[in-house]
Amino acid sequence: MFKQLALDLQLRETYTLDNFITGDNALVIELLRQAVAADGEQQLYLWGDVFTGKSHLLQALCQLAIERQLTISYLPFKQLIDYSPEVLEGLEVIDLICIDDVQMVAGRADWQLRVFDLINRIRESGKQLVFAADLPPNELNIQLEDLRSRLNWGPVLRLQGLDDQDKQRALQLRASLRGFELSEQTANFILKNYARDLAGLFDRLEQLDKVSLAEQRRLTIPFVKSVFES
Amino acid sequence: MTVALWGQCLQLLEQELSDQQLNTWIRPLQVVEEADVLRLLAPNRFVLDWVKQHFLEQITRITDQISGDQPVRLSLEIGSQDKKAKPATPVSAAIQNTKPSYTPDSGFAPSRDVCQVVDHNLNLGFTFENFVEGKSNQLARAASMQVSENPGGAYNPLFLYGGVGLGKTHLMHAVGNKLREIKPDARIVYLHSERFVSNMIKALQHNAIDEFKQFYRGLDALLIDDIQFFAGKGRSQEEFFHTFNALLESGSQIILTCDRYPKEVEGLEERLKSRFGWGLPVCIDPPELETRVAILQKKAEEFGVELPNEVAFFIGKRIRSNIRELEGSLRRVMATANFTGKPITLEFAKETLRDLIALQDKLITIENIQKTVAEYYKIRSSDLLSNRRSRSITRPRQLAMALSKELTNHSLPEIGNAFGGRDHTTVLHGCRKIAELKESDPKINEDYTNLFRILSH
Repeated sequence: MFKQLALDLQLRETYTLDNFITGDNALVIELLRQAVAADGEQQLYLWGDVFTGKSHLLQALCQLAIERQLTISYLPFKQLIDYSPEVLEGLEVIDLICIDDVQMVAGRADWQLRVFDLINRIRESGKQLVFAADLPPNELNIQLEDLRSRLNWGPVLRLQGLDDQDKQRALQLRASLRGFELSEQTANFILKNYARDLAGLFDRLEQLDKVSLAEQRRLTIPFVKSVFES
Repeated sequence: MTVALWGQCLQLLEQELSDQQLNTWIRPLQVVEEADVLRLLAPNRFVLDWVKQHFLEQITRITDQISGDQPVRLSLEIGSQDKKAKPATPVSAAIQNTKPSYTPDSGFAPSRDVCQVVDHNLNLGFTFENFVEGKSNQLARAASMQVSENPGGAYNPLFLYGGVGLGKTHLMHAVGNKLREIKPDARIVYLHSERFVSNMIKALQHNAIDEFKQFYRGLDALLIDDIQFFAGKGRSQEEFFHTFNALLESGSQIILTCDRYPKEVEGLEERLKSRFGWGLPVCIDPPELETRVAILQKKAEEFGVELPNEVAFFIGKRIRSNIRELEGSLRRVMATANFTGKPITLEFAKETLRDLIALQDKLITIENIQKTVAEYYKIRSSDLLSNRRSRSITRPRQLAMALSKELTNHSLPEIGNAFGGRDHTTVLHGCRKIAELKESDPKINEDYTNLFRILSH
């Protein structure tokens, strides 16, 4: 008998503030909510380790803004940095601009100048700007001091990682968003035995998703064991 | 055609594209639906090309599908439509317009009435009233006041220079606002030097350089921020040079800001440097502790928040480099207080800014100061700790001591100890000497300012 082939389909994952496990980040979430309301901060800067949910939050914020009929632009610098900083021209008419991985401008004078210019333009047009990075502005390798000081303009907020219990919940939530059930016991088992960081956990989940679909098996502890220890 | 066409199209695109693709490329497009044309306005050439290359086929297919027997033509253009302010000003319209009129903001406006309404770009929130005066900015403030009362007079151009985030832009806007208060129909334009450059390039591209010239040369006051970014841009410098001369001749006021003294800007033509020095170059230094505290109090007052003095002192002591960072930290403390419902106490502020403080403590150590100063003067760190008494060593040593006193929270005996076991009176003497020299010797003052900036970011 043939195994059913798992289709290599990228599942559409929608990021919202509601499907973000808050952990110790309640203040950040609240400020993001306010950012798209009338009296929010004009500029926010979020930083944290990988898998603290920076991109999730920025995408979720875009989603919320769209619901409020605002115009948005999400700029993932990890991908855009290979192209031209011209992508930042003319954006000051957009209500909310989210720049992800702004640390990528390190050592790139042309990009630093353009981001600096963008902040000036946004200040003048009164629109909203949210940055995410892996480090706070003062630790980024930015040569243009004018940019560094401007990144410090609004609140600089650190995203905290999740504790084990919240990680387990995050794992379960991600599984359910991808359309399959992961019990508390199984999630806990993975966390205890295979990976403790979210990057590792989501990786495992990915593997399980593929194998379970191919073998049409439920995600029981013995099955998980057989996948990871075979 | 129904208004909902693009809405429907988006819904269908949502099924085919990822959130990221949509949010990066599709949603930033602005849409103008006309009788049988769907105009998609991209903010810039890059987005336009990307959409054309990756998504246009898809979008065309979907709109064809939706519009059925009433076909709609799709037009992808560069341009924008600001909901609040102006009508659409796509570049294509400007090209068709035989004589486009000029505005500093959009570059071109469909109206033919040149300069009837000048979009001054002034930030009304920056005034003299809410500018906190201190020793570091006294002179700059007084000069700016003078200019606002007597524009086009002796202080022309007014050249404000100093490090980032020290209030140059604030003063500049304050003059502009004051000028408008005195003479409401004064034609004043504030813009950043980068904008001047890009507007000029746009004007050249669209054969509108004459309008560009006419516009800028007809102003009552021109305020240009951060002119150091003119460096290396020959054509812009040339154009600015002529604008500058024309304005001076007609008695219009020019105000410029820069991060350094005119003569020290590399990549700037000599004739510009010398002209910038004609009027009054005034420096703004980093604010001393008392001014930082007063700034925090003023800002808190603007936000309607009561800020206890000890908290203001705590933040002011910790954040020394620039005012933007002070403001950012204050905003963070206020937002946290607002969110948790807790009062702003010293303990609370310490807790809220914990990571920031930890970071600073990590960065600014006496050892780090010694290392940086030694590198700056191209000597060895060990020289600073040694007993050598030659001038080439003692000055840097004294500077390093003064910086240690200013930038760390170590006591004088601790600082003395870290400099090869010196007495605290030696440290005190060194600090006094540097304070004295900063007033009398521009080179020492510059070295101190540079090192301060490097160390405190």
